[in-house]
Amino acid sequence: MWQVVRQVLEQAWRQFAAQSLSMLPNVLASLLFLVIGVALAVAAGRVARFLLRRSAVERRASRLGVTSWLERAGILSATAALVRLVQIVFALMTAALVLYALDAELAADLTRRFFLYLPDLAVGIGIFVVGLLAARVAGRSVLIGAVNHGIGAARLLATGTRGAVIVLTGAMALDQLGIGKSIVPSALIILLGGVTLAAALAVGFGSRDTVGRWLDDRLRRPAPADADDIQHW
Amino acid sequence: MSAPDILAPAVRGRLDQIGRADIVVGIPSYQSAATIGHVVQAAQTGLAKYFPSAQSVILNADGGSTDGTPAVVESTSGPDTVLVMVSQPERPIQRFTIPYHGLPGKGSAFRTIFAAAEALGATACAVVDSDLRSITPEWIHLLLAPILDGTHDYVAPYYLRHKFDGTITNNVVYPLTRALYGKRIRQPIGGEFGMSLPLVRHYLRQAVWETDVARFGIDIWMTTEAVCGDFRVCQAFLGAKIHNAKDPGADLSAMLVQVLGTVFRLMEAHEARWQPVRATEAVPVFGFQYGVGLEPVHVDVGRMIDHFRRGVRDLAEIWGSMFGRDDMARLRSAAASGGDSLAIGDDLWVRLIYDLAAAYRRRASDRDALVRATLPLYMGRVASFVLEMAGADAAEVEARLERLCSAFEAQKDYLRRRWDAAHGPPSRRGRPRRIA
Repeated sequence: MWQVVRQVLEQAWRQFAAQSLSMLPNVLASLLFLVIGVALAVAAGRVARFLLRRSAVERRASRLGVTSWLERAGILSATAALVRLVQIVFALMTAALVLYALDAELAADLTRRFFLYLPDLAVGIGIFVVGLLAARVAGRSVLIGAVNHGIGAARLLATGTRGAVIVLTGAMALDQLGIGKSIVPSALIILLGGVTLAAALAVGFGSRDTVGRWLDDRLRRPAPADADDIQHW
Repeated sequence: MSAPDILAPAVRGRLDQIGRADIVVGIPSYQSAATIGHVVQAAQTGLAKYFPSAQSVILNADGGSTDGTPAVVESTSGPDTVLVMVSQPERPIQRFTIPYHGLPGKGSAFRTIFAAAEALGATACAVVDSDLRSITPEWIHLLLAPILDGTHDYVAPYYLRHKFDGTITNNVVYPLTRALYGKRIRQPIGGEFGMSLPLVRHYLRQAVWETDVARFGIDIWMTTEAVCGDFRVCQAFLGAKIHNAKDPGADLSAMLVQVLGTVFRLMEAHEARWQPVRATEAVPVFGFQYGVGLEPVHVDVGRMIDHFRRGVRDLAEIWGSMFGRDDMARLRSAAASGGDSLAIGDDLWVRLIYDLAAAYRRRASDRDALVRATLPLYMGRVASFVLEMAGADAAEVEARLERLCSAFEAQKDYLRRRWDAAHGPPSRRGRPRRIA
């Protein structure tokens, strides 16, 4: 009995060692690719930063109005954004080479599937980025308008607007990517329905007085900003 | 676009019938049936009384009123009904209404009036608002005489107003344009102006009539263009300005955007002109200056302070992207002070306006949102001004405004630094940019 177990173990070890040895060149090659790729990404980032600064990209972007758009998305520097883009391209290329070095067949299959998925991915990311920008613009417009119209809960309204736009465009992006095609719209409908129902119940039943006081307090709208006799110009 | 292209064929036909004119008085209007009759009558009487031998035309450019404004203009009786006349007109005064084309707004109405004045070869042109209740025939004389005697090209109005009226003019537009261009024009956005034919032609040649200037901001644009175009500028003392009650639905933030947005765009267009200006000069005032009784003005300071505090609380992020950290701290401190002790001092106010101008320049899109976001700040400044001047008379208020103007002039280097930092020093200083 023990003899059989020992034979099985020896055979398993020999197979593992043989396969590992046969894979070793691939692993070493992939590690080499990884190291070179990371080094190239860092170097390319530095070169790109140097060239972009030399060509005054920041000032040109500001003149073209790109900076203000980036700022609205929370990106404070056009140069940093472009450098990061270059590094991402290098990282993707490195990842592909590492995969090819490990298993060319698997890598080819993954690459093919990736490129087939790429248009959907690009559109999905595009939808989400536009959604983020739109959410920021809409939130700010609501905030300024609410403050100027004397609405107490201005920040709450602005946050709600921003959140609603992000949720909506996020759901659209996921739908484009084919992730949770049936779950995401259903979840969105349930969420919106739930919020509406909760608000209706709160206003209609138990919290009627509280909500009434809250609304009166928070959404109390004083006279318009120009209700004085004063002629401003 | 030449003058004939701007005017509709029917209008051109009417102008061809008239041939030529010495004077054109333009009245832009929209829903002004209640007041325009008085304005037309004052214009007719003024023309008949002071310029009896001149060939005169009164032109009403209407923006599609549905309250019968054009009918009031057509039916307003002529100067022969005026009882007290120094002289009778030697020539009939032509009077007619035309609809204007292009973008809706006062600017498009002015363009139509200017095109008609040019087509008629009018030596002098005046424009007056259609909602005026205090206009007298003397206004027409004062606005046109400096043009007709050939000594000036542009006549700006000089009114007496209640100490709390015209707060945008007093706290921003007058001191800012004075510091920028060096001319002390007290009412740069008054609404009533006189112009020579060369200046009218200059206006018509500018490529702004398809921009926001055609909708609004025309008053400050005209004043600034007259100054920057080196036309001879003067002021006419018109007494009190009383006009019809404002539209209660009008949005003050939109008005602020209209006025300040145009001022800032003009700063971009005329940067080469204002950057070197380091001193200001008086602009002559025509007309006998006298004191008048003014209608009382009710101001709800508490509501203004509430508005300011909401801005400090909720708009800090947007303000922080324009204003310095120390100034933000000063605003928070002002908001935290008790109601009657709210104070936004001149130096702070001037820096905020200059920072806003620089931020407006830096941002290429959605610039108007920046100006809209400063409405609470403006309300705070007005509240501070009203509290400070509560017991002051007109002369003391004027002296106070003079100190504010000095603060704008003293800090102009700060504006230059902020302005240049917004985009780097201008590369084409000698070439004005087109207003977008």
